[in-house]
Amino acid sequence: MSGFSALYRKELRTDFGSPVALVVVAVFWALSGYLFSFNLFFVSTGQMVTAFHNMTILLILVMPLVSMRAFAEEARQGTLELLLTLPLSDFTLVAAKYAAGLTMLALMLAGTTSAVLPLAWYGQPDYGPIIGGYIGVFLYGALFLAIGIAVSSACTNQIVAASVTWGILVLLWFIDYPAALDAFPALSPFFQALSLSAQHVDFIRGVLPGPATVTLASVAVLALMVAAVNLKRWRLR
Amino acid sequence: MSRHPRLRRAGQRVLLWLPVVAVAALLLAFNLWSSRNLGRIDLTAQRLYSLSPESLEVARQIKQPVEVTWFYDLRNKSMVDALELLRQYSHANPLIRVRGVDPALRPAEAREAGIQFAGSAVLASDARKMTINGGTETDFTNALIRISQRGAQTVCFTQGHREAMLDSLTSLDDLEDHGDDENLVARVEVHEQHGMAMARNALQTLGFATRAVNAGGLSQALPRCAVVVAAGPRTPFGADDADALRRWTAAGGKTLLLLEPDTQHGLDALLGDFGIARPAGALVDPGSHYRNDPGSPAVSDYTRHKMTRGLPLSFFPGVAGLEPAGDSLPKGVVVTPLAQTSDQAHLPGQPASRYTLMALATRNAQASSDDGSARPTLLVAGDSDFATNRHFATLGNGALFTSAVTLLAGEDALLTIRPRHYENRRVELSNRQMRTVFWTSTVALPLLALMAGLLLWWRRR
Repeated sequence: MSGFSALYRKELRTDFGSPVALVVVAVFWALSGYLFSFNLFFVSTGQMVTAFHNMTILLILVMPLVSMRAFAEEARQGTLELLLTLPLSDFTLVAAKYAAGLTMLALMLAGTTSAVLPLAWYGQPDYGPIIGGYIGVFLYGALFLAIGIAVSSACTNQIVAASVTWGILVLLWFIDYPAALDAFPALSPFFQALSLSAQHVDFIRGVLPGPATVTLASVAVLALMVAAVNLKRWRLR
Repeated sequence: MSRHPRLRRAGQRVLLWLPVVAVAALLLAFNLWSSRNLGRIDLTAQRLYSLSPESLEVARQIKQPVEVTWFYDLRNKSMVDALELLRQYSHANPLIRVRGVDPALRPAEAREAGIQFAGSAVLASDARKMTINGGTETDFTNALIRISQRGAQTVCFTQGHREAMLDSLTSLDDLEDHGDDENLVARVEVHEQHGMAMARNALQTLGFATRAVNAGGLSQALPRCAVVVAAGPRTPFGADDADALRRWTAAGGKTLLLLEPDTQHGLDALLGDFGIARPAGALVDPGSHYRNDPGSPAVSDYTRHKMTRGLPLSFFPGVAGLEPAGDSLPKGVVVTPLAQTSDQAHLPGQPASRYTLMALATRNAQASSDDGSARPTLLVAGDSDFATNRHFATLGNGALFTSAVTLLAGEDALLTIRPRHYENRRVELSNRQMRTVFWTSTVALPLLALMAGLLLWWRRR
C-alpha cells in the first residue's frame, strides 16, 4: 500500500511538475466553459444535459493526452525497466498510474462545476440530473483513461498511444451503427451494450442505469488488466 | 533444440493472457446478470424517466406472458425513449417481453403485424392481439390492462334526450377544387363543441369500449353496460327508460349523471333513491371561478378522495348546485361530495353558501350482493358542459371525467397516471450577467490554470 501511495505521489509530482498537465486542464476548462456558456445563452434553460454531452466528447479528445505518457514515455526514456524493478506488483503499478490520472480527471471536472453557479444564482436548476450527469461524465472519463493506459502500456511512443486510444474510443462511440442498421441482428444487443454513445444519453440526463454502469466498470477493469499483462510482457523481454 | 525456448516463451505469453480471459468471462457473466436484474436510479425531481407506481403495479399483476412489439423509428429520440420505457415494464415483470422493430428496416414484419408507420405497439397474449398507437406510459399501461382482461368494459352513453352527442367527431373529405390533383384531398376533423367525442376517445384510449344506447331501448341495452353515462339530458327520459335505469342502478349498476340547471330529465326518482336534490337555477361563484366568468365555478381544492387525487383545476360552466338530503338520506345511502364551490356561491335569490358540484352516492347491502362488489353507485355532477368537446381538453376537466368513469368501472388505479413533463426551468440572463458567466467560466478559470502552468514552467526553467 505504501508502494502504491509513493508511486501515486510521484506520478502526481511528475504530472503537475510540468506545465503540460495544467495546460491540458486549462484547455478543457476553457472549451467546456465556452460550450456551456453559449448553450446557456441560446437555450436559456437551467439544465446541463448539453454541457455534459460536450464534456464527454471533450474527454474523448483529452483523456488520451493524459494517459499517453503513462507507460509509453517510461518505455521511451528507458525508465520502465527501473519501474519494473520496484518491489510492486504489476497491477499496483497500473493502479497508481490510474489513480493519478483519475485525480487529474477529478480536477478537470471540479473546474467545470463553476458552470453550476450561474444556474443556481439566476435560475432554479434540478440538482438531481446535474449530480447524475457528473457521476456519468466521471465514469466515462475513467473508462477512457483505463483504455488509454492499456494502450500506452503496449506502446513506446506517446503519439502512437494517443492516436490508437482515440481510434478505439471513437470506434466504441459509434459501434452501435451496425445495430441501428440492423445489419447483424444477432449481434445488435452486443453492439448496443458496448456502445458508449447509446449508454451515454441516460447518464447525462440524470439517470444512472445499473447495467450500463456495470459495463463501463467492467471494460475499465479489463483494460487495466490488459495493461498489467503488458507490463508482465515487458518483464519477459 | 532451437525451437524449444521459443515455444516455451510463446506458452508463457499465452499463459499471461489466461487470467484476462478468465476475468473477461466472469465480467461477461456479471454483465448478463446485471442487464436482467439491475435497475436504474432516476435522479430527476419528477422521476421523468421512470414508470409511475401505478404502471409498475399493473405490470406486476400480469399473470400471462405478454409479447410487446414496439414499431419505432430508430432515429426518433422520443420513440427510442418509449422503447426504454417498455423495457422498464419488462424489468418489473419478466412475463412481459419487449422487442423493438423499425418498420423501415423490417418492412415484412411490420406488414405482417398490420403496421404501416412507426409509433405503434402490438401486444399479444395467448390468442389475443391488439394494436395501439402512441408511445406514452398511459398508452402502454392501459394496453397491458386491456390485453390482460378478457374483454373491455363498455361505457354506455344514453342518447335521444338531447344529451351531448357521443359521436360528434365529424370527418370530412374535402374533394372540392382539387382539379386533377387527387393529392389535394384534405381530411378535416371537426369536434362539435357540445359533443362528447373527445371524452369518448379518451375512454377508448384508456381501454374502454363505448356505445350509445338510444331512448326506448335502455332495458335491453343496460345488461351489457359497465357504466351508464347520461350526459346532460334536456328532455325527460320516458317512464320505461327511467324505471329501467333506476332498477339497473339499484341492482348494482354504476351510473354517471351529468345534469344541467333547470332542465327536465325525468330521473328524479333515481336521484331520490340516493337522496340527492337539485335546486332550481344556475350557480354563480364570485369566490372561485374560471377566468372572468362567475357562472363557471372552478374547483382546485377537491374533497380528499382517491378519484380526485392529484387532479388539476376543473371548472363547470353553467352548473346546478346539488343538495344531499342530509339527515333524511334514504337508509343505507352514503353521499360524498367530491367537488364543491367556495362559500361565496349562490343560486338566484338565495344567500351565499357552499354548494356541491359533484357527488358520489352509494347504497349499501340491501340491494347489493354480500361482497359489496355490486354496490349501487350514482355519481352526479350539476353540469355536463365540462366534459364536452369545448371544455374537455382544458385544465383538469377531461381528467375529472375519465376519473369519474374509471372510478365507477372499478379501475380507479389506472387513471391516477398523469403525464409528467420536464419542467423547463428558464434562466433568462441580462447582457451583463451573460458577460459575467462568459468571463468567469470561459476565461478567468482557464487563465488561472494556464498561469499556474506557466509559473511551474518558469520555475523549472
